[in-house]
Amino acid sequence: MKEQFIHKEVPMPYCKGCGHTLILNKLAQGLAELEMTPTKVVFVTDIGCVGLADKLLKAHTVHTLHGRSTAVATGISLAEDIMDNHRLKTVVLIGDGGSTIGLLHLVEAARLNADMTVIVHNNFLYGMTGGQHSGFTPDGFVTRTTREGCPYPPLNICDILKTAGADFVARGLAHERQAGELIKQGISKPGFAVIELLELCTGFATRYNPMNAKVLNAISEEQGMPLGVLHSNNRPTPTFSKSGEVRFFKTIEEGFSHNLTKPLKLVLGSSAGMGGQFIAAKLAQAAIASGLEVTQKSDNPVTIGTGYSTSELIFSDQEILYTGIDSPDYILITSADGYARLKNRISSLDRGTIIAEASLDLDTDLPVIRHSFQRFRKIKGGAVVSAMSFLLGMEPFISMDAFKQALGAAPNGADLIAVAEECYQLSGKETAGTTQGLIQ
Amino acid sequence: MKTFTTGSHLIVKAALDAGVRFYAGYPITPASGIYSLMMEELPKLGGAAEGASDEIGAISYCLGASMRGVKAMTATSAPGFSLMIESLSYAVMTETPLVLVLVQRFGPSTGAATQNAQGDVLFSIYGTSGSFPIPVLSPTSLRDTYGVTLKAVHLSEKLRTPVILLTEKELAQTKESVDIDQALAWRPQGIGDEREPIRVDRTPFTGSDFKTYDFNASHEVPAFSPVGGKAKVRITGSAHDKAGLLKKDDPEVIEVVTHLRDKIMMNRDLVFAREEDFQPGAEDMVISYGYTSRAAREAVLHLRDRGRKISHLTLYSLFPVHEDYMNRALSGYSRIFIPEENLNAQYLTLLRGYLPGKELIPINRIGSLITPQEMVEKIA
Repeated sequence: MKEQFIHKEVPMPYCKGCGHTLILNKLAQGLAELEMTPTKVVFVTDIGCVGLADKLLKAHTVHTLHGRSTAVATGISLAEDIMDNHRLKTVVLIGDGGSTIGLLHLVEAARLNADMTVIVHNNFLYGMTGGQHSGFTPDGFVTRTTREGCPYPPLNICDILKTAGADFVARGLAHERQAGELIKQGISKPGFAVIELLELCTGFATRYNPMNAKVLNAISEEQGMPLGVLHSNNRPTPTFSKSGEVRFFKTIEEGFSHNLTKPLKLVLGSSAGMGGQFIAAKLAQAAIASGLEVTQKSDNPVTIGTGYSTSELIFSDQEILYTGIDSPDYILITSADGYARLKNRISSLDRGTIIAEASLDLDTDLPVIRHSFQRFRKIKGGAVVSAMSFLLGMEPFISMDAFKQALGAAPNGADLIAVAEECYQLSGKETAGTTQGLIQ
Repeated sequence: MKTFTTGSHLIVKAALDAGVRFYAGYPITPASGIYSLMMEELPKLGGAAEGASDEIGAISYCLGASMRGVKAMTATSAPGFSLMIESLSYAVMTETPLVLVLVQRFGPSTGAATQNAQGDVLFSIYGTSGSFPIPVLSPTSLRDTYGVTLKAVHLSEKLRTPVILLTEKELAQTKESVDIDQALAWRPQGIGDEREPIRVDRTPFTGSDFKTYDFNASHEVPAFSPVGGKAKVRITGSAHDKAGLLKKDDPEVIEVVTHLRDKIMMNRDLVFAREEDFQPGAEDMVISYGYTSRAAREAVLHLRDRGRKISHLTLYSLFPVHEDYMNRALSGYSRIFIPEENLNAQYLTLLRGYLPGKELIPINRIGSLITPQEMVEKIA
């Protein structure tokens, strides 16, 4: 049964001779001929005269913001994909003004090939606000804001959206019979379809420009805007379903003990590519497996492949509230980048022990323990593991076994464990008697 | 059981458990973690997640999906939130549920992407045209993030409104140990004793003669029916009557718009959530929200160790302000300290209007976390 898509009793809101009336009637007729069901169609309308259509339409209607119709329609269309029985047809009614301000939403919807039919009502100007020129105003066209004729070429929405990936692209003249056929073809097609329909605003365009049917044909020819079906393709529409288990939280078994009775605060300065933040997280996991609470804050330049990489860690046997570190107990520095980043901070400290790469020239009054950590740098994370194992040798707040277990989960775990063992042993020999005595 | 995770993970976990099945995002530090997790996990649950070409697109996609009947979320930081404001107003006017996670960073403008701040409190509360009320919730730590996020999703559904989950870079990005079982079980304390369930689903309209914005009393929430459902739905961001038809100079328009205020303000019992740590005999109180609450708690514990009597009120809902509760809870206190990581004492400024005559004392700083020591010195 053919359904009606227009409330016949509601008067058309448009000026006499307006192309919008012609388009609405053709659209309603097309939907009826295609035997669509009104509750399976949603009209998403933009701002402007085109948006006055809602109350006439017998289907779901969503009247949106200026230019955002296509974006809201994209949301409806993408959500449709995850519905059990998806067959809601989304039809966007938008003007040339809405297409100008919302151009990127059109481009993006075309790129995704989101299932919708967009009917661009192109009357070359903003009618509702007094006839100002839009991005679609043809070269030489007179509007209230281009009295000498528009000095710029119009945006060719069909070309733009074809390039962006639209599945169906067509252009017609609102008053011609062919427009109805193009609308029907667009709606029948799954994926992103755009039909640009040229029309003259009887309120404003015809005040300044010659008014006859030939004007539109002339614009079409002169501006390089051919009529008819311009492009048709069969790209898939977006789908989202993916298999796999949702796993958020890797739990950590407590299997080790700790020696901490007050918080231990540690700052690590290293370089991009040294695996500093990753290894810091391993130390954190080892501490959690030893029954401690841990926080880790990391920082690096926005270009993550270069410069410094820092991590700030707090270990505590109590809940950690304030997560800032104003006065670290230890500062581990494994590279020049790390030192450059922490230098100012170090100069403001009056306590703390620095454990630093031996080759660095440090300017500080704080106690410094040096070792060549960089000799392990060929092993990803090796230099940082080496420094941390040194720390654990001096300050065994958790056991080496806990750290080794955490390292074992890394892709190069065996290598890292070997580094850890070697440096832990060395640390005991080299740093005897130098600790701050945090652990009584 | 312990885990090592971030607030972003707990926000996403809560959203998925609460039934969020649509996410659209645009990358922005420090909210990008939420976007990545959603892109990874949502499709596994039969949901949809998509990247948009800007934040206007992201929120618009979410609103379209929500109108279609799918619970939706997006996350951003101030520069992106600025672009979303137009559509946030639209969500208010169209009574479309949405959870918007606003992860604060140092501003104004692009500011510093990886630096913490609490500078968007008034922006989130009063940012929309007409300043129509939007519930604003804020977690303080990994312990409460899951429960507060659940509440945000539920409120957006129950009240057919956008809800802002206001948080900070520190919560979203700092990795911390947390007892995951406790974190998933924790719920914010509201006015009643009701415990937030994990999931509250929309009840679609089943009667006849559906009107998109129908209500009797002004504070009532209109029934929902999805675009594409059996009832024809009319949605508009323009001035409208209860049927969703464009109207102007009509008393019903004023009634509908007044209802937009009343359904939030008169339902503030539903929104309100706090934690009381009150000490009998105390004359000073600290009111805190968000990440700063952690240093505030440390300061309060420190002061008590020194023999000072002091109370602490942690707010999980920032707006609407529960005026009756606040006046009741604060009676008897002579000095109220409010630490905030912004320059202009934003929440204090808001509260002042509700608490005439109270001595509200700001503790402010930008550029780094306010330390417990700073708070102790100011209070002592």
